[in-house]
Amino acid sequence: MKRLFVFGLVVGFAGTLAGAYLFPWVSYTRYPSETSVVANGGRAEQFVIRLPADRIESHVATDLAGGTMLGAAPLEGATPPSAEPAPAQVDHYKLRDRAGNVVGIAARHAVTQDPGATAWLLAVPSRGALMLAGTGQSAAAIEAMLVERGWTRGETWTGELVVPGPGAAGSVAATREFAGLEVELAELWTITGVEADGELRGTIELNTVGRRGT
Amino acid sequence: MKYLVVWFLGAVLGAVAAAAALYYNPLTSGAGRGRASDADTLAYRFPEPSVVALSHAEQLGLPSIPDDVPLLWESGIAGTMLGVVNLGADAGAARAIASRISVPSMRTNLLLEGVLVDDYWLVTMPGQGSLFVETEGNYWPLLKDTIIPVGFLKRPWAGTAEYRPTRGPGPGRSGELVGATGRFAGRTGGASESLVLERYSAEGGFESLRGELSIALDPLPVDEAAAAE
Repeated sequence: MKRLFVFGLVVGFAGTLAGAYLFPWVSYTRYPSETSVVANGGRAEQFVIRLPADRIESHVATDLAGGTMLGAAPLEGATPPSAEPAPAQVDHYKLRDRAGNVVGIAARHAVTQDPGATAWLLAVPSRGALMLAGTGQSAAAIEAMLVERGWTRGETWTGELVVPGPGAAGSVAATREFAGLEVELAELWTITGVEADGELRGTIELNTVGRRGT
Repeated sequence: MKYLVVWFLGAVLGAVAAAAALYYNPLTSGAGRGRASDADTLAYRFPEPSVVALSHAEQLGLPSIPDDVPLLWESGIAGTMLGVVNLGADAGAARAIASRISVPSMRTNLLLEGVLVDDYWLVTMPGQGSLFVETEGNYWPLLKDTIIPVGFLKRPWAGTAEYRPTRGPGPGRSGELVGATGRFAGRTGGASESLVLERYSAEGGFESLRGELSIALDPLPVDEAAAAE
């Protein structure tokens, strides 16, 4: 009887520890990657942001004090700091795959000058994160194009305006499944309407091509 | 039948003992990497005045900021959290805007690692550039010492507590500056986060917290340093 009790004790103790080790405490729905092979090598994948449904938060950061950071001396070839820094347009979206499933979160920081330096952080929980930098479309440029197409501030507008990004962004870092890939990202904005409060309707397509780094 | 009951009692006692061992497990309770002496520190205060937005799936009693911010409820992003934070040398003097995407790590296990969260930071200083920072933090000590006893078991809070969750993924259990643009382009370095929880209650959750993201750039190579001068 005593041996049986001790055996049960050991099984309970070891079983609980094994469960704590083996149990998948965190898991994410993994959708199939909607990728295709491109002609000259690499893998193309499109992410989509639907506006306004996928917008989590947007604002213009105007109240930053600025100042030096880290005492960093720029490396040769790095962009020197500007004397009068422009405010930053900060946007956060839910990120969808081509099939429309929400697969991640995107953060976009862009200077408000046109064309502006843009940094993207794409986090896909089941796969990893991509961090990209380049030149993106500024809100001011899109607004100017909408005015050309007949939009008046404070009024609604319906139509179609397709705005490709002025340049591609390249990956500066990648983690987990994306690690080792050199990724290029091109923005394509398709605006189908503007609400009276200025909220855009349409999509932002993020077209990426990833190649295995050398 | 008698034998089965005895075995079952033993198994239950064993499971309870194992649960207690897991709760106080020193392998998952240790403090992480502290701030490097040469690091530049960007501080924030939660919830005010630093946090511009906080979105999640309503976990751990955290507030949504602003109240009507969309929740992250979809199964592909369940458990993730987005924070938008003004970072400064001290509260109120913001120098940078940061987007922080926190993703509970699939490496989480309560026996050897703890409750792991991957934090991806995009920190932008207008006019200077952006920094991409990756940290892996173990939040089991925060859960064990504060959230479970005070938030769930309604025990009185012991007072101000400091946590250093960062434990990777860089060398020396430090976080990593994995990429940068503008004047920081090409630079690498380490990073860590520390949290001072100043007020917490079962009703109000995190009422006052001071956080610090510390970033230490790696030294320039000698020839690059000479060129920079």
